Amino acid sequence: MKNQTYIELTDTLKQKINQLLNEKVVDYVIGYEKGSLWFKTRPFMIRKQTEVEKVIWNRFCQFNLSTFLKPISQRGEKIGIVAKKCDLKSIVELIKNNQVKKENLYIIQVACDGVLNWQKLENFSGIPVSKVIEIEENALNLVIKTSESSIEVLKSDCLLDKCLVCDFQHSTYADDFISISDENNHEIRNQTIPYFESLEDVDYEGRLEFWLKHFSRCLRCYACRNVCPACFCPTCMFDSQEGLWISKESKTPENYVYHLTRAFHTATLCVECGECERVCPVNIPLMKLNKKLAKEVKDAFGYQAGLQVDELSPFKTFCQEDTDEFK
Amino acid sequence: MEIVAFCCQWCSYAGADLAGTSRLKYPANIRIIKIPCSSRINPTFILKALSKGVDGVMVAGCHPGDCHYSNGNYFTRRRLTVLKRLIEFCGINPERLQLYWISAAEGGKFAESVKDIISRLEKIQDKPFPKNSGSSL
Repeated sequence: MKNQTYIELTDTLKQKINQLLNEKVVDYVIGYEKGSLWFKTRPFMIRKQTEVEKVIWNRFCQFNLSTFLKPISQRGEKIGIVAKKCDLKSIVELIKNNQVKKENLYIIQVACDGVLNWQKLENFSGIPVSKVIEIEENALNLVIKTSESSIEVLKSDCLLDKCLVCDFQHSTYADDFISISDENNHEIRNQTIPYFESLEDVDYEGRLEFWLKHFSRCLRCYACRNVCPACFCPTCMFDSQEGLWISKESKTPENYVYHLTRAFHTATLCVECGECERVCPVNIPLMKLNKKLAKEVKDAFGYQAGLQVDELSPFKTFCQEDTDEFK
Repeated sequence: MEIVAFCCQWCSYAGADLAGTSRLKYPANIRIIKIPCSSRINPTFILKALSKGVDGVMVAGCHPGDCHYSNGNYFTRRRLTVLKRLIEFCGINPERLQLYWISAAEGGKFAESVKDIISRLEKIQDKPFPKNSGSSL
């Protein structure tokens, strides 16, 4: 992957992490390192300065690292975290809901020009990712090179869906913002992607059939819950031994209750990072649910998750003049 | 037709009592579950009931402003507003979930509310979840 901006960003990021560890501003930093394959990255806890060399920043850093703040934030250590703009929203939600203290965090926001989806890359170029030797970038295209040929594909075709609708605001909550210049390709983003609109034209039975078909595949592996930065209950109600609200069996109606409950629980917390859908081993289109609920919460209460730390979630407050839809 | 009614113990449950002692007639399709406050309702209660194949869920609480715990029913109203839209999106007719405000002095209103939800459900064409399709729990 050759992209001068990202190489420079990585260097600046390494310097920054080195400095933070050196000055003991943080105990450790959560960042990315190279994954098992060239197009994969994995989360990485950097504790020693000798480990800083392994840090990377490229177009495949998809993981929302704020998930790791859930279990470790109670230890009182000072944590540095590398965050994209969208990850910052999750961090804001965690701070807002007292899951992590702002003073225990050092947020390093890194400029992001969109994350690539390797499956899309494979589909649009027709080249299996295992054969790709190098990818070069120009303004609008990616040049994918194999040992025999090279193919150009549009960047916008290969970005993650969430990057196509990204609204590029720079959050004020970051302690540091690492960027080279503000040369993002704004024109290839800011699109509108239909997530759930097609389902709204279907009748109730059709919708139920659609969801039951998807939920019947669910393994109840709880990967969606575990990766979700908004799922921070100390004991999840689906793990609770006291009241078994739903069976632990993976049966379709139970899965329906599980997914709808989870969607409802995260309704005012979900920042639409798309991690649940990414980790799902059976590809359940969970973002359809989340996007729809986020839209409904916005319509009903004018609230959007992840923007302000001091804003109260609509389920934690009320207004006597709320409309009564049940009349 | 089966309807689960979640009734707040301070208002609607007493309202149901009054309907009984006043010998008011209402359809016998409802199964009343007493809860301390309408905001005690976890959305999972409703989702679970619906996934077990009940035709409708009725939630009844104190009138807004009259909550025994001062403001529980305002929270209920907000939650159920979102839950109603969620089940609608996931293929359950939103008419199957109804929220009523019934005070302890309104036995008549309780009977009317039960009749109201039955008449709404009779108009619905689409089927509920198949009965007892889930686990035995």
